[in-house]
Amino acid sequence: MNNIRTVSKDSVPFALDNDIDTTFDGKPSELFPEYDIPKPAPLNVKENKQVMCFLTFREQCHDSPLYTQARTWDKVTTGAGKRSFGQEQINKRYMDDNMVDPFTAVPTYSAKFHVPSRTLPDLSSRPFAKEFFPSELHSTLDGDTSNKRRKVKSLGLSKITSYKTVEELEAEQLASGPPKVDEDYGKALEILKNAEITAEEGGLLLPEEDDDWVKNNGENEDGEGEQEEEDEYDDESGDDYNAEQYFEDGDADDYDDDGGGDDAIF
Amino acid sequence: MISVTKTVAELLSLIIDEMYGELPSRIFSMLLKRGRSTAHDLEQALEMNKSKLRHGLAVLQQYNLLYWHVNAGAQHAFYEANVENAYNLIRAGKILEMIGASYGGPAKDVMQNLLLSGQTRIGDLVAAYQEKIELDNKAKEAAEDPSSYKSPLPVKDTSTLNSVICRLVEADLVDLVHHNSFEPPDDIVERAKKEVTDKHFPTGIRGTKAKIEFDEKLSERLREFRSESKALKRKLEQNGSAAKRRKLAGGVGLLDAEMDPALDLNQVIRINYEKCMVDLRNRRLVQYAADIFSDTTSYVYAEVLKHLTKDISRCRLDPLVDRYKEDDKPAQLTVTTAEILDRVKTSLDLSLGLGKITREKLSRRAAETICPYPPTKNVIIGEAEVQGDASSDEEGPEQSTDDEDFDSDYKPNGINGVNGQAKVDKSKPIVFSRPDQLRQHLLLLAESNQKFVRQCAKDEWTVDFELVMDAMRESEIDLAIENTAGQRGLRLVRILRANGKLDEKALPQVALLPKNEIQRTMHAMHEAGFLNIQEIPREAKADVKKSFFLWYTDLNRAQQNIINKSYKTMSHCLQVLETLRHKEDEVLAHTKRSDVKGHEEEMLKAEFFQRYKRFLQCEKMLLSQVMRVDDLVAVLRDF
Repeated sequence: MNNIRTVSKDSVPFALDNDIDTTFDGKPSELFPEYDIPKPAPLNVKENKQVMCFLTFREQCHDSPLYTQARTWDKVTTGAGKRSFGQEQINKRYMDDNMVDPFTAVPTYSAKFHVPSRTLPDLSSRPFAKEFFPSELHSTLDGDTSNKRRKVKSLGLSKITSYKTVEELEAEQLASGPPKVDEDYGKALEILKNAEITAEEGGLLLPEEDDDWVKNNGENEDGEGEQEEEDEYDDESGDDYNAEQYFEDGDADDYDDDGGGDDAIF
Repeated sequence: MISVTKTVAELLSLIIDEMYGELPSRIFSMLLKRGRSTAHDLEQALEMNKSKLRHGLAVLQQYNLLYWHVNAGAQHAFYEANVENAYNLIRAGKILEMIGASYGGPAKDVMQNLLLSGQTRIGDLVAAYQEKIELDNKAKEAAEDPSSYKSPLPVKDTSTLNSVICRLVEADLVDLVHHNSFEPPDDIVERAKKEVTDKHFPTGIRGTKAKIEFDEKLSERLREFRSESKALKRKLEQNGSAAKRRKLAGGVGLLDAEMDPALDLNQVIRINYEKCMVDLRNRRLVQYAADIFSDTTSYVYAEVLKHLTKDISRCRLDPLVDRYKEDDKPAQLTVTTAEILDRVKTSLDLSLGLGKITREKLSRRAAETICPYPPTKNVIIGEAEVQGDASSDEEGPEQSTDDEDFDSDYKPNGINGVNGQAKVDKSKPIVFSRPDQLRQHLLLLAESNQKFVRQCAKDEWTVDFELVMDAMRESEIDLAIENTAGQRGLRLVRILRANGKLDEKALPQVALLPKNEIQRTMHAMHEAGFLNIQEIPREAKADVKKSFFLWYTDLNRAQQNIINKSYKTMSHCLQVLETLRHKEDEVLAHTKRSDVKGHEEEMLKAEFFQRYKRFLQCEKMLLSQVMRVDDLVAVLRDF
């Protein structure tokens, strides 16, 4: 049969002419045929600027209180392109409330630096022009009224002014050269300290959600960041394991002993 | 107008997900799926809890992505998706870059914050700036050397902010939000129809004359609705525009900031995408002119466009709204040579980009033909009007030319090479004055096949946007055809365009190509959607063997095809980005940490740093691809 099929001349309308080859190759096509991947032209100056504007803008959007992050770790493996039957199945793709990843939910020291992802937009922090919202949304716009510390609402312009590009990163790298271990270590410590300060000042307010590990550890009545930290070590809650305390105590010592350097801080 | 297909719905929800996060995106895609619905409907459809849904709706509304309507006396609002605004989100980068380039850094900063916060009360915006400025002042005091402290803020005080907002409103880039802003457009049309009927035609509309009158009244009413958002602009213009005031102040621009009226802090403003698109179209046209002629000519063209589009507020006219009575049609916008000359920067050397040619070789009269009316638009090939298209390439627009005889000193081919040697007097080069050079650039633009400008009176110029854009669209489609089927395919398509429908058997003779090669190319292009085939039976009994097969090309259909594919490509890019994010999850989780952010290099492991860099690179490439594809969509659909 040598894999060649002949097509009878009259069976296809366009193959009436004798000079057209009417023998079709019946072989299955190659699984991964050679393909010439088209490469886009490099960006020109204007396009580069446009993309940078877009990236900065996007970054600012993500920084805004209205952004609901919750990038779902499940979306790619179980969702997106896959067919779904019914809304319930679609909803499963999204990390809805009370879904905790058992592997990362265990508190660690570095969790302190994690910017918590938001599942609900924080509407209470900024003003709205309410007259342009339907009245049924007005109560939502006021935000959670039970929240005691109501700040003055402000639009709060984003602090982000740029988005780092590869070129910038590379330029930095070149400028600083291969950093010495000592220097690097010192710098890292300093940064760490700064980050801690901002966390305490409330720049990094932890979310008031059920899966919030700080809250579960201790009481959080007055909600003040500073207070919170101190209270926790009263150990009234009777927790056997207090991650915060474990690390907090040995903070300085740990690093002094551990000359190894930067890996430990992750 | 975007028609919401499945592809579009997918793309839009991806875009919103990318910019504003998951919650709004989920609600938006459900709104697209179900059409107009109440919060309760959505709640059930999404199986989402009430507070979450309302939060999401509030976010969408804040970012101008919704229309809503409350029936009189009813409690619940109906929501509808604002598709245009959602799509325009991917143009944010372009819009900001454009504003930065043509209105300066402060304007860009203000616009960025406006985009960032959606619809904003001017007072809130001012307060937010105030806050930031105070912080900056504190930083200045704290600095070691206050005199050399350089503030990073583009807007340094509130009066600058005020004047920047005034500028943007005057340029129509920022709109006032009013009570009709969020009414669904269809509802507005219905309401206007009802009002007009009640007021002018209480007994009903009878006869064609009444119908025409009704249409006119309707568009008048709709224009009233539309002009509500321009109230602030009108108010500012009453006060005299900035340019006028600058003139009055004797050309000193310093007083500007103080002379702007203080804006009402209670008013709510938002970005006007329609006008932004007009400005983006200008830039694209200038780019197109630069591709065809030279940079110098394109600078001249840029000035022409800038002047002409000052009062154009949208790229495409709405047939329902922009229908005028014969006598009060808006006057054709024109610009004189002198006005352009005023605006072209003196640093620009106009002598560049112009060829030299002997006098006998050119026909002054032919070049300087004045066409007071826009040429009749060629009908793009329809099923019946094959002949209408046939003439498009050769003749067309020049119908208004009054006389075809040329100057006496014009000799078409030169006689026996007498005129062959170009007699440019080398010892004494012809020096044109600057206005003359400018005119030559303009004539160059007017003479091209693309009809960039038209001389509508002596030294008065105008642009027929539809014609230029048609030419540009065609060239974009040609490019796409060339990429799929090569030069030869393009040639075949052009032959079809010139001839209308052609029989399969006649094609080889016209195209002078072997039959089987033609067939191969034609089928490839058919598959890509650039060509169509029609079967016409020779006799009542449709016999395949005896039928004619006519090839034809349909510009509109090809256009739709390309647009659709572009949507898919963009969706694909965004999905790839999402997948990449998932892949590099562990790295990105680190870079998001507050201690790592900004110090990636010191804090990350070398391997992670490399991966992070790679990710950023890919992200940038993917997004730039999205923007390039969007450029194409803009040309084909929006401009």
